[in-house]
Amino acid sequence: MPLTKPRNASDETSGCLPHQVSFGEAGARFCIGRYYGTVEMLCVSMSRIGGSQSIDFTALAALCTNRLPPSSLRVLRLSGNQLAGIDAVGGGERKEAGVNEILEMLQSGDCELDELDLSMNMLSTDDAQALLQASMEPSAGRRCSVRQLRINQWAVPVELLVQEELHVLDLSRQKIGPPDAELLAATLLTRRRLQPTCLNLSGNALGTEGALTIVRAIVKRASGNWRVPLRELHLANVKLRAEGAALLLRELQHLPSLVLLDLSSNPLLSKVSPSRGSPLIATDGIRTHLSLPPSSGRLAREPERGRQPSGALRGREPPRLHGGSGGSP
Amino acid sequence: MEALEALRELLSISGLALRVLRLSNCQLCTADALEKLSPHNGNRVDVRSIEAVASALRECKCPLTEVRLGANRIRDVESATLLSAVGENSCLSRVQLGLECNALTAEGLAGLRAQLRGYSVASSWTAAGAAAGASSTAGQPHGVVIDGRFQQPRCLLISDLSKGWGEHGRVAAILPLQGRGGSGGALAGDVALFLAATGGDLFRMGISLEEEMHRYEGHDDDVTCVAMRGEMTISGGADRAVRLWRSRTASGVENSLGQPHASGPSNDEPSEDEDADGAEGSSFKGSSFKGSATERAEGGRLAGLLGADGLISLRSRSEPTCVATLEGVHVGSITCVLATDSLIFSASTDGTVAVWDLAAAVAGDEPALLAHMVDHTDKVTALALAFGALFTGSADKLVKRWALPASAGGRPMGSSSLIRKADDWSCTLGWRAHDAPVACLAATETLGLLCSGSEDGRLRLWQLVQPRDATSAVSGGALDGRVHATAETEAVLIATLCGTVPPKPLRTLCIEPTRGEVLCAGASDGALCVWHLRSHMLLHTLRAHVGNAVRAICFGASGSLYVAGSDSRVVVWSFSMDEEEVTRVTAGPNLMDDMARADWPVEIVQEGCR
Repeated sequence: MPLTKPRNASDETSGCLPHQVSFGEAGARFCIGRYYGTVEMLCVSMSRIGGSQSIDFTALAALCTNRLPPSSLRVLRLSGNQLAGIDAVGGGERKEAGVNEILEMLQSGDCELDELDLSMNMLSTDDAQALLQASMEPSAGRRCSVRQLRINQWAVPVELLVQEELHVLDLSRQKIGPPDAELLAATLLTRRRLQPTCLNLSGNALGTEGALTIVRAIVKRASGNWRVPLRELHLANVKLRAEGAALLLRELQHLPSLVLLDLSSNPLLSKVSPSRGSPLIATDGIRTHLSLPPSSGRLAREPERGRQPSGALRGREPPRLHGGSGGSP
Repeated sequence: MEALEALRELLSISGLALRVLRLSNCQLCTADALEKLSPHNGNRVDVRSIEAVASALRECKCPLTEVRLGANRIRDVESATLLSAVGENSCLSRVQLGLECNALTAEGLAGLRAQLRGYSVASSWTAAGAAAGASSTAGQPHGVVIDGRFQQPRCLLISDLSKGWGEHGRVAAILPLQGRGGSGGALAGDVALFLAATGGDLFRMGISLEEEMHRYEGHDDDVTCVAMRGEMTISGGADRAVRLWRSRTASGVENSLGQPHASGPSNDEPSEDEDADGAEGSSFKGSSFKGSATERAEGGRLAGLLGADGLISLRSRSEPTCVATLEGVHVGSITCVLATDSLIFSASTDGTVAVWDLAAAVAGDEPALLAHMVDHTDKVTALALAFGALFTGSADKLVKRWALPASAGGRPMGSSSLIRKADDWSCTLGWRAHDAPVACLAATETLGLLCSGSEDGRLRLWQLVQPRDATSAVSGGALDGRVHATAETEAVLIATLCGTVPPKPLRTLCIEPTRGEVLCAGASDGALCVWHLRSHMLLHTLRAHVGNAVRAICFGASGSLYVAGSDSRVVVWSFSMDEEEVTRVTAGPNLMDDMARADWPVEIVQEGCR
């Protein structure tokens, strides 16, 4: 349902927006101005563009190719739209058309959005990284096309991540979960100009998996002779338990530059309840699958590894860096 | 222990630059550990986690300057172990050991300070170092940050009011007296206790006296709530009426409501000061906390205020007189009353809130009802006046905010003529605060928090922010350092806290008035949870009314906490409020400020410590 805001009477004649938009056979239909007369559209929320059997990206293509400006659209929420084309009912077939449309829109640099919500679209890690990178560094001459990008739970502050000379990267209380931690770790590893000396991740539900992913990325960065080493690491209240804390502290042995370590408000003596099974943490890294005992019958077979990465992205080069300046105008 | 073993390994590596290590609120002393430490369990000491931390500190080769171990329920023995470990390691010659908000006793605090003073003396410190085989660090100052505030409280008094009273009833309220001083220590007579008898009588009692000070006769049914404002006492009852009472002495309006009682000399004779006033009254030293003052003066009822160390001053007072009865508006029992200098708010089980003009009610020459707010769909259970607005909590699970017309910066209205338009009293915000009926509200303007407790045992903290500034909640809507409710603000859930497992319905909330950072929540099972509002940490769980609901809580002067249960017992707790240590913590790095900047869990479920 579109979020609308009544405009002033003087704006009624501007007529810059259509009064009704309809996308595809199975697409969303929504009206603008149906209830309030002429309204200013601040946000478009679409749900279930695709059907259960075949996915129709017509609506998305129409939306993306129009590229929005000079309209006033600033918030685009495409949550739960099977943009990666994976439909459980349809047999799990992956179609990259949706992701491609979004990627092209972001890379074009023509769109400027305050918020782009792509959550609950079953995007792979590669998808997420490519989308984030495209948001941070669109085509030449554009600095940042999206200020906030939500791929999982975390609303990635793209505008913050593209800042240069950022010493304090405060990402506290931003609902960063393990999948988002993986995205952040990849960003820390790939974006060389992002060199904070203080990283605050307090208050995010990283868990052992997420915290370890990030700390390993930090240690890897440090071993790669990055110019500015991390000096402060705030991991208060990130749901770190005993096993994870032990692994994390052993990783930090390889980070001699660290001056401040905040592990407050974590149950460091608490172990995962035995009834929940063993933690998904191996001593040599994070387990990617669980082996169930034979008594579990047909479930005992080892499940397939994670989703295949996007075909569209496998053959796609990541967005290029522009002259080392990160696409700054 | 796995994590602490890894910590020991990390700290024992030389060449690391680690200087600040924060392990606050990490449950280092679990409830199990405390259980084993109980004297009832043979004093078996099992403090492996603290021993592991101490071991890590002993072997530390990092140049640590700050180790924070606050809110870990560390007790005296563990703190001594930690301090000894710090003293044995020459690498930690300048470390600050933060032990804020733990479970130290007053004796333990004193012992730590003595231990610390010993370290500052060259000979003592050398001896301590030599005993551990460490090099001498004589003369090098160690810093120990011990926040004496809100460590483990001591129980000063348990008073069973029903014994000497002899009438069936219950505690209606414990209210702070305005203008109370902080120099009198606990039990300085800085609160007023009200007992509601079955049938409608209301009694104001001394905390440990079994003698009534005032009797308020007039209600036709049980009194359910009481408020005080200046010389006025306001009571609401099941008879759907709100009554206003004024107490007078022979010299005029009673001054005890506006003036704290000053302790007199400790002898059995009347004090000289009181004698000088002649008929004003006299002072006695109570023989025990059970109370023995039963003398009555002629021509009036004898009233008592309990002073420090059991000193009781007795003054001759007349009966309070009912100056106004506000009725005919509510069709249900009054559940809550609240008063400002010019207004009275009454909430009812009929789901409405009435606003009365205090001056008009007393004068009786014009209608006192200013507004009748009917937006709630179930009984209104709580009222709170904060941020320049009125907040109401209801059994319909909603909290609503009502604009106060002609208010400026939360100040009470001066002229009732400005607020007679019905449109002025509008609900500017309402939200579903809980999944169960809202039972109680409290607010702290220092932190800009509104706290709501509910029947499902959850305590929720809300902050009023501007809609477009939700991420920077602390500064939302701030004017002069305080949050003022405007039509544009909205309530953002900061945290949901639960102090007992399983959760028990909350009955009453009270926020410590001096700093506004500590909240006490009383539950239906008699548990009293003490929360630190900045860090959302459960500091203590006090149990003195087992099986009986906590009915009233009130902070007195100098860290005293008065808690009344439905068993008519009043328990007085005393928190250490060491100003010297407070100054040190404020001047140095402040753990709680750091914590305030961090995020805190959406839900904390912790077991209370003993």
